[in-house]
Amino acid sequence: MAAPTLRRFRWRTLIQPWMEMDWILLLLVVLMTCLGSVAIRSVEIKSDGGNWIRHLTTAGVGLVMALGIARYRYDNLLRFKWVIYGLTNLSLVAVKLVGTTALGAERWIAIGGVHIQPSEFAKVGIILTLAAMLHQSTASTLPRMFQVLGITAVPWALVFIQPSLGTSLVIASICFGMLYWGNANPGWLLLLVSPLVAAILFNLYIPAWLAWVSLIGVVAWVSLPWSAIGALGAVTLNAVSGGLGKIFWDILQPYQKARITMFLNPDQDPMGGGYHLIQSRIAIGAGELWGKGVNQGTQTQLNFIPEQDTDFIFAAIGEEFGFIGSMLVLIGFWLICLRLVWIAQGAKDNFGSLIAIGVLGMLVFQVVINIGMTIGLAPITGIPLPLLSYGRSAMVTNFLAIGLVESVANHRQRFKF
Amino acid sequence: MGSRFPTLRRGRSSQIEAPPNRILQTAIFVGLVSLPMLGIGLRLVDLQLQQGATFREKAELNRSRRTPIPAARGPVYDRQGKLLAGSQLTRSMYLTPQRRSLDQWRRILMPLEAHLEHPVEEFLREIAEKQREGQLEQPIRIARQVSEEGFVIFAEQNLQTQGLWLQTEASRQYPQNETAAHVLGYTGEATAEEMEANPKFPVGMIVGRAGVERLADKELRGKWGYERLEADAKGTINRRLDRRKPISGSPVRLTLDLAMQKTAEDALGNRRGGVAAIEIKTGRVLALASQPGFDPNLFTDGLTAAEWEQLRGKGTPLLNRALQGYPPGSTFKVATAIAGMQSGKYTPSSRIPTFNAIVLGGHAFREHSGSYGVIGFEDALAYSSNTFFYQIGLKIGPEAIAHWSRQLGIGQPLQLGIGGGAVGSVPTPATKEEKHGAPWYAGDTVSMSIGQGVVLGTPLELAVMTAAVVNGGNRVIPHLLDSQTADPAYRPQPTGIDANVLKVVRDGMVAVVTRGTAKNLGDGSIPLNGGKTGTAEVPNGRSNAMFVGFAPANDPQIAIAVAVENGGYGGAVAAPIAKAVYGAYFKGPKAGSPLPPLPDGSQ
Repeated sequence: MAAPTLRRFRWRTLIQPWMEMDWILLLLVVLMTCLGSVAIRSVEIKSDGGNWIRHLTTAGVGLVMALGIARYRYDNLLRFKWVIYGLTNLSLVAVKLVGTTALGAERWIAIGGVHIQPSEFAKVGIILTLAAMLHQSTASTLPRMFQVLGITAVPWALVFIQPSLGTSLVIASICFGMLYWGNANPGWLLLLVSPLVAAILFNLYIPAWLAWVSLIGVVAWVSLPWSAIGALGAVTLNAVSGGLGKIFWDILQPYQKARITMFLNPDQDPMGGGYHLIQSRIAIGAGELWGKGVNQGTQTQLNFIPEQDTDFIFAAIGEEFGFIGSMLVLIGFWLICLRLVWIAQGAKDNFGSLIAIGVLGMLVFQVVINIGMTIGLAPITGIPLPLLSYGRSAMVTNFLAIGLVESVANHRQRFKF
Repeated sequence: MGSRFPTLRRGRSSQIEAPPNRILQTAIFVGLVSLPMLGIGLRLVDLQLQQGATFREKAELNRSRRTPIPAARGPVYDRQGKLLAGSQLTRSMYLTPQRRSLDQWRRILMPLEAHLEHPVEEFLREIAEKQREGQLEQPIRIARQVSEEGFVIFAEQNLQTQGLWLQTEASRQYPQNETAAHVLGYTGEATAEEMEANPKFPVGMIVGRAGVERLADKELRGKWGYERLEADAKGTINRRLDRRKPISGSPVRLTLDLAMQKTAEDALGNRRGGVAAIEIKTGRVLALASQPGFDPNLFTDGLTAAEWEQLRGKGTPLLNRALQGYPPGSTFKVATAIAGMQSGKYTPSSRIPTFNAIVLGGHAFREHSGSYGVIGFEDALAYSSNTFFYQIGLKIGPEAIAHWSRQLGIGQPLQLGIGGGAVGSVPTPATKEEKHGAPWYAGDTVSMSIGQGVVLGTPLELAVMTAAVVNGGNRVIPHLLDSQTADPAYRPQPTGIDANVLKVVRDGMVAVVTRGTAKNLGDGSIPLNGGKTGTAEVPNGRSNAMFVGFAPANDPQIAIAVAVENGGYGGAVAAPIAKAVYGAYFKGPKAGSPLPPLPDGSQ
């Protein structure tokens, strides 16, 4: 009769190092990954592709890594922040030098026959660097905020010139999320993005642009230390950014411009840039309530949606699993995000808290933009859907990030019992 | 909560930091996460639940390629069940434009070039246009009647995987070639406007363009079937989704008699003219010949520009001369005679003097051979006395002639429904005034009474007039479809002409054959018959030869009218044509004998 007790005892000691981990978060992540594998298998079932297995095996490797990281005291990483930052930038420079080109962008480097996408790993590198920086001193002063922005700008620019617009936007989202959590004045953050908004409003609706410029003036007056000059500067900057917007617009590659505007009216080029959008919307809509069933979606099975195992995997889910399946995915991500917020506010130190927020900024932006793109609410920016899209660098990156967050959760204040 | 952030307290920064308000920040992050996701959720409600059915339909259209399967057009038979128009199965080649570059299309189509309907470049243009309009799945036919050789190329190049396919189609065949071409008409592919007007028409729909093909199009058309194939984004066919068999068009039996029709056309030969032969009691059209003719098979394969020019050009072969108005000449004296007696100014036994000529307003209207003395209607018709009918015309006036000739069927709206024809016309002072703005002279009445001037009658109308003389005074309504005979709309219309009037005209017409202007019809080779010749002067060239008649004299069955443009004398040129047609008629089945069943067993 002693044997079961013994076994239970051993089992407990075995998982002891992970006891404080957020199991709900990990379970949600694993479930999403498995659903992704089912969707990828459905997409490639006609061509006998093996990506769904690679998806799972990569996730398996990622899971092991994540569990390893979860055991590791994340705060040890604090002292490596500049090493991490240096490696991040180095890998991005390497892409420029020895990278493989695809779709007019250099994104991959081949190491030992494996294609690695450094811009994916760069996201985690930046999260760690910024978390460490803001941990040492928060962004509650303007100079500190600009220091953080300057540190972010280097890898951001390296990603942007690849060019990988999507990833650079993800980095921006990470940075802003962490700055806010790191005590930056929300007014400053608003001021930072205000010229972009002004540029868009200027081209859409002049009265709205005028209102925006006045609002920004007030925000600047209230939030900046030198109210009068700050307000004047902010108003001037926003006022001229109609023209600035055009300059920024001209910097973009034509394919990026088309991708950005096409989602508003995909029918303007149904055979070209609008094709993805139209077909993916049809696929998702055709799913109706219950979906057409696994491997039964005609849009999915007959290849009407390009890149459907990567960026457009949500179209396959929408068509085959319907509204119910789509909502489950959406709610799954929502719960993951809530867990991240929960971990962030419960972390034992700012470093861990900021890591969780950085990961949140990364995931939520990718989820919203990717799903938004497949349903015609956001432009096509080449952002994959975390955990569901096929892509091994992204998969490992996501599990590294989850591993770090789990470490934060695992090593939050302990109540020994 | 601030207590959890020791670093904040021991911050190396010299500035004093307010502890972060984590509750507000947490709330804002929850909001930032939840709001966009709520937006996505609402959009999914709209896309999948509200518009779901529409999108499912679009997805269905995306994947399925519906190809029409033509129904074999119904056969057309003559009254004895001889095939006049049939269908032959052929194989056509189709493609859909898809999302494929024109260069790729050129590479695919080049090996087939010799077998295509048009040059490759023309199809590339069409493909480009369809692609521009987003009609990627709209089939384009590139070849019809694909030969064995074309089929081999199709198989060798494995074109099926490129989104090309072969389809069985029925093509219209007219085994009698030129015979009855004007009656049968021809078919053609529905035009863009017709497709628009009939949304149910499948691509490549064949419709009747003229003649019976148009008249009986609904019956002949049948019901096209379809096949729905599943194609992927590249247009490659995966499998068949479903299929509906086409329903062949119904057979149509005409009233026409192939032998009589052929005889009439052969008898006309290479002269321009028309022949109409009808059953006197019913108005069933037994022959409706027009020369020159054309081969309706040409239309099946699509006319070349040169062929079309030829059909529209010299000799106007598309014109149905049996339905064109000709000056009836002396054949119109039948109408004038009836009008004279029906007007009450003359009786069947009236006798009036004839002259060498009648002078009116300084112009002499002559008899052709000199006075016949005092004669009655029978002799006047037999010898075709002009001065006799001049006097009648002058006495009863143009309105009476016009009235009675219309009663007899001249200028009545045409109900054949095959197009390509006109109706005759008989002028009155009112219509002359209206049309030409000129006053009516007595000379006009004189010309009119012998079927000259602006009197026009089509051979078919003249046959109807003749039938009325021998069927008890009923104006039959000529028709071509066997089924129409029973239709109340085609029931003969009584004209109210007195039986005694009819008898004297009929006797006169028999006298034309026995001792008058058409004695060559009384040589005994065919039963005794009656008729009236006409030699209508025309402004340019020789007179038109005209003839109307009926047979047999004692129990009339059919009426005939013949017109030969610039043929000369009616008795010498037109009457022999009628004789040939009579011959064919009397060789055929006895009048009133039941029609044989159609070859496919239907009625």
